[in-house]
Amino acid sequence: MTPAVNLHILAAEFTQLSRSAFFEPAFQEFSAKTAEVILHVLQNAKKYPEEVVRQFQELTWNILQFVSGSRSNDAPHETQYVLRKALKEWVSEDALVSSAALNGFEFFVNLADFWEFVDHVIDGYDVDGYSPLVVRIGSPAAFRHRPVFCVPLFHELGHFVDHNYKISEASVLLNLGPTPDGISAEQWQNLNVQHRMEHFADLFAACYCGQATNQSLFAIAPNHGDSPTHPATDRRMKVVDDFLAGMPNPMVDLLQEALKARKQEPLKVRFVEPSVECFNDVLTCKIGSVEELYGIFLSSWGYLHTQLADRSAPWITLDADASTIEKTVNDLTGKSIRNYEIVERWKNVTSD
Amino acid sequence: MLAAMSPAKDGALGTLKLILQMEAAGQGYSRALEDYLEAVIKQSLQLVEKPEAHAGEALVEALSLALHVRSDDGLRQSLESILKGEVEKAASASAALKSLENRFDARREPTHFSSGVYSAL
Repeated sequence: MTPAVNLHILAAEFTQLSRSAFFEPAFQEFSAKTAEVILHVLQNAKKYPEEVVRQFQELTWNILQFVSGSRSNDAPHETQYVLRKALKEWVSEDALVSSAALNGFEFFVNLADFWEFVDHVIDGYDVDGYSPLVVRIGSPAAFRHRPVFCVPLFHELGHFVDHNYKISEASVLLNLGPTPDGISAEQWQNLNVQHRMEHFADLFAACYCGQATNQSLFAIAPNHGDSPTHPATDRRMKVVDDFLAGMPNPMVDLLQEALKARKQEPLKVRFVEPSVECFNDVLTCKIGSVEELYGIFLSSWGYLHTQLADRSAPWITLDADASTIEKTVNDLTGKSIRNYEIVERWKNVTSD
Repeated sequence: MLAAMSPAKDGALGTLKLILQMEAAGQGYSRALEDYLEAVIKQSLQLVEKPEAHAGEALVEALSLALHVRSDDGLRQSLESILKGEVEKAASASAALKSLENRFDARREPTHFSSGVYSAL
């Protein structure tokens, strides 16, 4: 199958998508523009080197997953709403957020800078300033209505921010200790990048979710040792502990220095824990600020684990099992976030 | 998964590799891509020399490339000769591409390193 044949298929797919209903209407425009640039490449295929057409086609297949995934109704809507807020604190460009509901137990945030490629490489097509980033958030489909369990997505968003500004790589360029025995200079450099990426993502998540970052890490990977891709869990938790306690930590310093060098904001606590005592009366939490919106993940995580351990809330009846408890807490958390979103939308409408 | 996934790196050096590939194959490409190639190479060489002075404004591709350059003298020489526009530009592009494609990938690293290595991190 030649790239041209594939591009005809893709043009039809994106044209169809541009006429479909999306949860986020900006995807309609995205699909229409993507169909347009595909047609441009098809009509000017001879103008572009074969490798360009081939790579364009590969990237277009990739972006199709992002766009088609955003049509499904199985995303963790409340968590995505909060992640979008966090993302806007770091990325000024337009970012379209799509989702992937996964059957397995995994989380990811992927980036597609398709339009940057078009802008650079498809030079006969005028993007006319249109260059949105597309971010795809993957999480277990079973967690769709379980925001408390989506805390790892903040870690994944940290990877995205790191990737966007190359913080970990900049930190290694700025500071790298001498190569120890038993590893080549190249391996040493890249091992440092890999581990700093994980520390950065942990710290990023801790800025929004505090200790819930470590608690969710411990729940998922309690005894993981050092590996080429990841630092040991206990080392990761120590870095986050020090950061949250305001204690000196060389890893935190390295990453803060890199953020400064890349002209980005430092890592800092960005959340305030709202009280979720109201959950005792099966009432939602009235979130008063965006800091509390971030903080509810930590508050709810703490509340859930307290109730699982001591079952002190009045609504926990004798026959209530762990599943009832987690469902109730996740439900109250999701509704609390949604109420905040509705109020915000209402305020936006009335202020217009 | 929290402990296993990172963002896709499709954009990191993809465009640079594509241009090098076209250069190596002797295919023509646009002036805009030529300028882009030159900017990324120039910035990466500057970053290796003085990262603190250039990290603020550098393109993300240049930052990634700089790390490769720092640990690979052969790559540095190939990129320098591309920048000089020397006659063997296609050969240099081919050599640079080969260097970039044979890099360390932690996800494919078969063995664990010693505890001494990890404790030095």
